Amino acid sequence: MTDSSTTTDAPIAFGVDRLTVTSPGSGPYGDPLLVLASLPESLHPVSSDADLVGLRGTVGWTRVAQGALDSGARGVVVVAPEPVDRDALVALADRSSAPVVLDSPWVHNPAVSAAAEHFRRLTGPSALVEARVELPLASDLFQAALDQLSLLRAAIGPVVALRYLRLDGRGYDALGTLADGTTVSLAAILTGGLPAAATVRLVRPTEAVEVHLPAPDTATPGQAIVSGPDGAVLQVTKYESAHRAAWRRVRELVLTGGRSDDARGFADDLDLLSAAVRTATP
Amino acid sequence: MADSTIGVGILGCGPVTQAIHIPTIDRIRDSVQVVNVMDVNAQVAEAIASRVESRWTTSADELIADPAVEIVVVCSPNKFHAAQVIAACRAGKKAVLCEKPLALTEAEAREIAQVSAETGVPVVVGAMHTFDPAWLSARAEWGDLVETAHTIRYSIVLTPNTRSEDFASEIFGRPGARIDARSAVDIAADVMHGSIMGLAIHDLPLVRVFCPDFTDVELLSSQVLDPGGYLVNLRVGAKNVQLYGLNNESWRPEWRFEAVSDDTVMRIDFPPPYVHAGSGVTTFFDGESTRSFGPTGVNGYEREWRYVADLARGEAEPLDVSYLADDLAFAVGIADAATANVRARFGSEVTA
Ligand SMILES: NC(=O)c1ccc[n+]([C@@H]2O[C@H](COP(=O)([O-])OP(=O)(O)OC[C@H]3O[C@@H](n4cnc5c(N)ncnc54)[C@H](O)[C@@H]3O)[C@@H](O)[C@H]2O)c1
Repeated sequence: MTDSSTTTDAPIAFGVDRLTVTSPGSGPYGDPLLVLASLPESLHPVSSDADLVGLRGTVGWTRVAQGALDSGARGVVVVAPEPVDRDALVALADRSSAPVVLDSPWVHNPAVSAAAEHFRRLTGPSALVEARVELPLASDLFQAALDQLSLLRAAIGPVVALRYLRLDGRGYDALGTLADGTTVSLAAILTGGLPAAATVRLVRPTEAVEVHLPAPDTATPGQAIVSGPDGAVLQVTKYESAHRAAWRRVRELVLTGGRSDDARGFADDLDLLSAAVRTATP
Repeated sequence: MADSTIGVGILGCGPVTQAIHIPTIDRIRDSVQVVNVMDVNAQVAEAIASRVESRWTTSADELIADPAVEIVVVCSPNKFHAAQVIAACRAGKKAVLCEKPLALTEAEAREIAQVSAETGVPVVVGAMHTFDPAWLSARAEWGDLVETAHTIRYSIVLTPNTRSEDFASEIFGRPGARIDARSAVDIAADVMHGSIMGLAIHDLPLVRVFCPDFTDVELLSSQVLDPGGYLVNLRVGAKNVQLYGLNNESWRPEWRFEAVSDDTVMRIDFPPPYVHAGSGVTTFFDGESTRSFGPTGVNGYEREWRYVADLARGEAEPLDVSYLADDLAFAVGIADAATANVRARFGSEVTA
C-alpha cells in the first residue's frame, strides 16, 4: 500500500511508513505510550530523536510541545490537555511545521466521526443539541467543560456563546449556541454510580442524532445512532479506543502533510469558558 | 358481564378515552363496565357508545345523575375537569378518575380536595406513571435516594400522539388542527404553558417526590423548542432539576426519569403514552453493578384502573387529595414561572 491518504481504516501493511515515537521521560509530561502496543506496525518506540512525541497535557504542556517541535519532531500528541496560557497556545497553533493533535478524552472516539456528518447536516435554529457528561465525584468541572466543548467542536462545530445556569459541587448546567444559532444544552453530572461517559444528542422536528461515548481508556465502543421518519440506524461500531484513534490521526497527518487546528480551537474554547465562568453565579 | 361489575360513565370521548381508557377497561372487564358515555359532540358520543354497547348523552349532568354510573371518568378538555370532578363528588359516586391535570389552578385543586373530603368520594388523577410497576419497584428499592439524590432529569422525546393513538385504537372524530392567529410571543408562551401542564405534568409528581422542599423553586431557564416542546432548568430546594420534552418524527421515543446521587443513578424508562406496551423498566447503577426491575405485562393504565375499581369496591385506601392538589400547585408554579420567563426573554439569545 503506497497511498497513505487512504490509510484511515485500511489494514496497515508490514513495515510501511513506520514512525518512531518517544515521550519526555517519567516526569509530569511523560506518557507511558502503552498505546504503541496496539499499533506495532505503524509506530515504534525509541528513546530520543523520534518522529512523534507523545506527552501528557499537564499544566505548562505547551512549552514541552514547543520544545519537541524545536528538536525536530514531525508531530506531537498531547494526552488529556489541561488549560494553559492562551498566548502559548496561539503560538503553537501558528507553527505550521508539524501537526499538534490534542487527545482530549472524548474527541477521537470513532463514533464521533461516524456521527459528525449527520450532526452537521442537521444543525440549525430548529434543532436542540444536548451534551451531557457523567464523571467521577470531585472531577474538575472546568476541565470537564473544556473537554465537552472540544467534543462538541469535533462532533458538530464550535460553541460560540456560553452561559452557566448553575455551577456547583455536583456539576453544572449551561446553555450555549453554535455559529448557526443552534441552541446547545451542556451538563456535567458528578456521580460514582456510572462509569465516566459523554453523550451528545441533536433533536429536531423530523430527525435525531445521538452519540454515546464511554471513557477513553478502553476500547469499549462508542455508539452513534441516526434516526428519522424512516427508522433508526446504528452506525458502524468500532472497538477502538479514542486514544488509539488519536495516534492514528497524528500519523496520518504527518504522512500526508496535513495540519491540525486543535490548538487554535482549544484556545478559543478556553477563552469562551473563562469568560462564562467569570459571570457564573456562585 | 357479571352482576358484580361496577358501572363506569365517561365524560369526554376524545382520543384518550378511545385509545387509553376503553382498551384498559376492556382488559379488566370482570370488574368494571362502561354503562354511559358523554361528549358534547353527539356523533362522537354515539359512536363510542356503539363500541362499548352503552347509553350515551351530550349532557354531563345527565351522565352524573345516572344511578348506574358508579365511577365517573373525567376525560374532557382540561378547563372542564374541576367542575366535573366536583359535580361527580357531590353526586356521591364511588370514585372519580380525572385525567391529568386535576385542575387548571391551585384554587380549583384545593376546592376539589375539600369537596372530596366533605363527600368522602375518592378522587384519582390519571397520572399513570405513579401506578406503573416500574415506579412501584423504584419506590420499594431506592432506599435513601430521595434524600441523597442531587440531580433529577426528566426527559421525553415522543413521536406524534396521533401515531401512538393509531396503534392503540381507531380514533373517531379526531379534533382538527386550529388556525393560529396569535402573535409569536403568545404562541411561545402558550406552548410553554401547555407543554408543562399537558406533557411534563405526567411525571412532575415523580419529580416532586424527589424534591422535599418543593415550594422552594427557582427557575434557572426555560425555552420553547421547535416544533413544540420545552427545556426547563430549575433549582428545587437543594436539587438540580431539568425538564425536557419534545415531539419529533423520528422513531426513538424516550420517556426517562433519572435521579442521581453521589453513588447511585436510578433510571426509569417508560413506554410512550396511549400504547399498551407493558410497564416501564427501572434500573439502578451503583458503579459496580446494575439492578433492573421490569418490564412486566401490566402497564400504568391497567394498575390505575385496577386501583380505581378496588376503591369503588371499598377495597383500597383512597389517595390524599390534598397531596394531589400539592402536585397540581407544584406543576402550575413551574408552568407559570417558565411561561413568564419565555415572555420576558422572547427574542433574546439563550446565552444573553
Ligand atoms: N393519561 C394520558 O396518557 C393522557 C394523554 C393525553 C391526554 N390526556 C388527558 O386526557 C384528557 C382528554 O384528552 P383528549 O386528547 O382525548 O382531549 P380532546 O380535547 O381531544 O377530546 C376531548 C373530548 O371531550 C369533548 N368535550 C368538549 N367539551 C366537553 C365537555 N364540556 N364535557 C365533556 N366532553 C367535552 C370533545 O368533544 C372531545 O371529544 C385531557 O385532559 C388530557 O390532558 C391524558
